[in-house]
Amino acid sequence: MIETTSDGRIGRVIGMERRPNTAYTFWFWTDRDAPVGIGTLVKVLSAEDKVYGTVVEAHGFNDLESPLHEFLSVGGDPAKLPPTQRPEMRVYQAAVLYREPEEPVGAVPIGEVFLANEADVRMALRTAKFADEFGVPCGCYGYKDEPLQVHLDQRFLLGPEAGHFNMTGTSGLAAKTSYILFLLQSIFANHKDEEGADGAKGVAALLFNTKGGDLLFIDQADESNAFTELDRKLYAACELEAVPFPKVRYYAPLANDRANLNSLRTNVVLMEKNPTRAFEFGLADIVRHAEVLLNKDDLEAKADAYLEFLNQEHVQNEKGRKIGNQGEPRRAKTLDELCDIVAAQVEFARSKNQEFYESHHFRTMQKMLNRLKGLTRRFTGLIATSGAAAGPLEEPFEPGSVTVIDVARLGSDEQDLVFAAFITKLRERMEEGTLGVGKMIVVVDELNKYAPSGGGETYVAASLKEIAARGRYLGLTLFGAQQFRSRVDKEVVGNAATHAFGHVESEELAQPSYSHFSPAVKEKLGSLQPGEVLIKHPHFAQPIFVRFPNPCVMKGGDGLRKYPKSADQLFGELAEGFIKRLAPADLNRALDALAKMSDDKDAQTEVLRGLRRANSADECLKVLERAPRKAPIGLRENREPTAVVATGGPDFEEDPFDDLPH
Amino acid sequence: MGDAWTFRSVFGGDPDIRIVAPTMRSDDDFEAFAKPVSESTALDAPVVEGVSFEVRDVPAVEASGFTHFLDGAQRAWPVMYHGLNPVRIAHTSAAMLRRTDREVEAPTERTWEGGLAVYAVPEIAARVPSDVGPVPIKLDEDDNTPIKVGDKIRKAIEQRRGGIEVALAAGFDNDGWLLIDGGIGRPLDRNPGLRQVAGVVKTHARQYFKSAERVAKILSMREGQRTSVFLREADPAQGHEVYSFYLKLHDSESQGPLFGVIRVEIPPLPESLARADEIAGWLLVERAPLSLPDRRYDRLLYPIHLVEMHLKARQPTDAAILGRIG
Repeated sequence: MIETTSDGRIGRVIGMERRPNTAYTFWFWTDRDAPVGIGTLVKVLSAEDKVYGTVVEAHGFNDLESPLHEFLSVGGDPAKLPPTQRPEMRVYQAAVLYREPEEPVGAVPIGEVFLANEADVRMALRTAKFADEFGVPCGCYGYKDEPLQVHLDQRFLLGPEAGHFNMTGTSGLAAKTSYILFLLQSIFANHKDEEGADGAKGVAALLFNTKGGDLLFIDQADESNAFTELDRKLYAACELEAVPFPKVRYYAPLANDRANLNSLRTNVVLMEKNPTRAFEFGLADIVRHAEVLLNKDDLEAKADAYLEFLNQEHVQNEKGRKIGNQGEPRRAKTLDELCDIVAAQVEFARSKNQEFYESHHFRTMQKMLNRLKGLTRRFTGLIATSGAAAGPLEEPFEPGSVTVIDVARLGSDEQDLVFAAFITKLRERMEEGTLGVGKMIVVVDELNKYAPSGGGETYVAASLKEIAARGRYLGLTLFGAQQFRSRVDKEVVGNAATHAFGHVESEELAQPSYSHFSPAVKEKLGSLQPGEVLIKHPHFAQPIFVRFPNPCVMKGGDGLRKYPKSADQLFGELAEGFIKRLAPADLNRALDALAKMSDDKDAQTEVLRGLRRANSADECLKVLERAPRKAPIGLRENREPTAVVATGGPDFEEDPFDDLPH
Repeated sequence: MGDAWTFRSVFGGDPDIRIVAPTMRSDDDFEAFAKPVSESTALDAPVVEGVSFEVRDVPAVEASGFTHFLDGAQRAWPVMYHGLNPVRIAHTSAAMLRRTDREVEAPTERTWEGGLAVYAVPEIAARVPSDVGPVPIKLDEDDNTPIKVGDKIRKAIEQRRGGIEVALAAGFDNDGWLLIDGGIGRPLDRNPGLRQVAGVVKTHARQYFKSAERVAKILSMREGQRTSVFLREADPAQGHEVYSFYLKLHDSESQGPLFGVIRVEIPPLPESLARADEIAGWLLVERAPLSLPDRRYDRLLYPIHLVEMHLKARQPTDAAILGRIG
C-alpha cells in the first residue's frame, strides 16, 4: 500500500458528531501503513487555513462490530487465516500547535492532512521566528533517516524572557544526564550574548556529579560502540560537532587523610592530562552555612544568635575582639581557632563565675563548642585547615567551560554543605558580576532530594528556590533533574520554562501533575527509549517528542574501566607527582626542598594545598621552599605539643547537651 | 453534484410541485427491489451433471481461486411530488474490486462507476439541471396512478444499477476469477466470452424444480453440500442461459431450511461444469470471515460485503441530499 504521496499527503480531517473537531484538537484518518504515531507533526490544508498539529492519540479500526463476529468467523481457531483480510485504517487525534491565520481561532477545518516537512516543523513549533538568531537545537524531530532539528529559544532557556530547565526521567536509563550534556553542548555552540548587554559575556556550566563516575570523563571521547551512526547523524542534523567538552575542570573534596582526593577520578594518566582539583570551604563558609551543618535542634534561636556574634566579632571583624576585654583581640581564621575562642570565652565566664558571656548563656556556648568540634570530624575533607576556601569559585569562569564538582563519595550532610555553599556563592558572584561569564548554568540532579515537595525549608531548598525565582535576572539558570517530578517543590519546577521528560514510570505518570498529557502520550512516556525525550517549551503549544544523540563523551562506567581510581598515595608521592608535572626542569631543586620539609601533618596538608593551586614551576618551588623545615635532629625529641585542648572547669566538665544529636 | 441549484430553487414557485423532506431511513437499499417472483417453472430444470439430481459433499479445497468481486448498490430518496406523481433522486453504483494478498483493493476510477440521477416524468425531468442527469420516466396510458409511476421509477433505478454492474462485469478479461453478487446471465449476454466467472444468488424467489423430491433434497442439504449442476435456461429477466447449482454454506438447527443456501451460476461451458466442485469449494472457503452483523451473513460472502461497504461509503449522505433539496 502507498504510505504517503510524494507531497506527504496521508489523510483527511474528519468531523464526527460524537467527536467534533474543536479549535484545539482534531481527528483525521489515514491508511493503516501511514507513517504516523504519537508525536508526529502534521499539517492540515484547507482553502482558507493551515493548521499544524501533533498527534496525541491513535485508534485503529476494522469493520468489526463485535469480537464475537471475529471469533465465529474463524470458528475460534486463531490459526485460521480467512481468504479476505478485514480492511483496516487508523484514526488519529491531534492537538493544534499553530494556525495560519492566527485569528479567528475557530474549529479545525475539514482538509487534507500532510506529514510536516522541515518548513512545517518550524512553523508548527513557531521556531521560524527565532531559530536563526536565538535558536538552540534541542534534538531532532522526525524519522531516523531524516532528522529535522528542533530549536529552543535561548532567551526562554537562559533568560531573560524566561529561564530554567527541568528534566524528569527514570534513573539508570541514561536519559537525564545524556540529554543535559547534549543540551549543554548545543548551548555552548549556539549561545549569543544579548545585544547591548554590559559586563561579562558567554556561558559556562557547573555540574554536580552525584553518582559514581557519571560526569567524571566528559572531556574524553566516547570510545565504546554506543556512539552510533545515528548519533553522528543527529549531531550533524543539529549542526553540532560530535566532540567531547573541550574545557572541563574537575573538583573534588579531600579525603579524610587531607592529602588524597575523595573522588573516583584520580587515575594518574588523567591527573596528568587534566587533574582533578581539590575544593575546600573556609571558616567564613562554615559559619555562614552553619544551618546546613547543624541540625535544627542545634541551631535554635539562642545558638543562632551566638553564632552570629562569633561571625561578626571573631571571623568577619578583621581586627578581632578581646575575650572579656582582656588580652589581645582574637580573630579566627580556621575552625580550630574559632573553637579555641569559644573555649576561651567559656573559660572566661567560668573564671568569673558568670552564667552569661556578652549576653550569651554559657550552656549555649558550651553546646556550640561541642558542635563546632564535631564539624571537623563530620566534614574532615571539606573544611580547610588553613581556614581559606579553595575551589572553582575562587577564580573567574571561562566562557564555554564546564566545571564538575564531584560529590558522589560524600555523605548526605556533606553534599548539603557543598550545594548550599556553591549555590549561595554562585548567586552572590553573579550579583557582583565577578563570575567571568554572562550566564551560568547550574546542573543539579536529584531535585527530589534537595528540593522535595513538602519537605520543609532546608537551606539547599531555599537556595534552589531563590535561583528558580530570581536567577534568570542574574543570568543564573538552574538545570534541574529528578526521577519523580511530582515530588519536587512546585516552585522549583514551576519556575522552569522548559521541561523535558525521558522514560517515566507509570506510577509517577499517574500523579496529577501529568494529567494534561493524553493517555497515549503517557503511554509513550512510559516506554521511551534512551535518546528520546518529550520537550515542553514556551514557544511550543504542545509538548514535542524529539530524538537526541548519545553525547559523544565517555560514559562513567567506561571511564572507570579505562581510568580506574588510583590507590591513595602518601604525602611524598603526591607531592612528587605535582613537582614532576609542574617543575620538571627544577626537579632536583624541588625534591631537595621536599626532603627538607617538616613531617608535621598540617604543614604537609598546606604544602599539598599550595601545590594544587600552583600553576607554574615558580609557584611550585615557592610553596616547597616556604614550607616549615624539619627541626635539627637534636631538637626533635623535645619539641612542644602543637595542639592545646581547652578544658572546662569542674562546673562545666560535662556537656549538658551531650544527649542531643550532633 | 454541483453546488449551484437546489430543488427548492428550481421548483419552489411551482404550485403543482410539493417538495418533501425525505425520511432518512433506507427504504430501497439492496434488496428493496427484489420482489418475490411467485411463478414457478412448469418443469424441473434439466440436470447437466450426471444422470439424476443428487446432493453431494463438496471436496475441501485449501484456498479460494476468486480474485475479483462485483456488486452494485442503489439508494433513492423521494424529493418532491409533481401533483401526485413521485420524483426521486437516486444514487446507483457498482464496483468490481480485486483481491491481492488477502486484501480487497479500494475502488478506482476504472473499477467503480456510479452517480446521482433524478427520476421524474418527462416534463419535470426536462426542468432538472443536467448535472444531475435527469432520467425521464415515460408513462403508458395505463400508468394512471402514482403507485404505478413509483413502480416505474423503481424499475428505472434498478435498471440503471444493473446496467453499471453488467458493464463492469462484461469488461472482465478472465485474468483471475470473478465472483458476482447475483446472476451472470446478463453479463454473459453482453460478453459471451466470460469464462472465469461465477454468480451467487442469495434469494430464492424463483423456483427451478417442481418435484417435491428435488426440492426436499435442496432444503435438506447439510453444510458443505451442493446439488448436481442443472441448466438455468435463458429468460428475459435473467438473460443468458447458465449452469447452476445450490450450495449450503452454513447450517443451524435454530434456523429454517433456507439458512445458508445459495444458488451458484457458472458459464454454460464444459470446463465450468468440470470445475463445479472446485468452485463450490472456493465458495466454502469464502465463508470466513462472516459478514456479520449483516443479517444476510449466512449467504452474503465477506468479499461481496466489502464491495457493498465501499459502494455505500461512496453514496451521498442524507445531509448532502437534504442540501440538494434545499
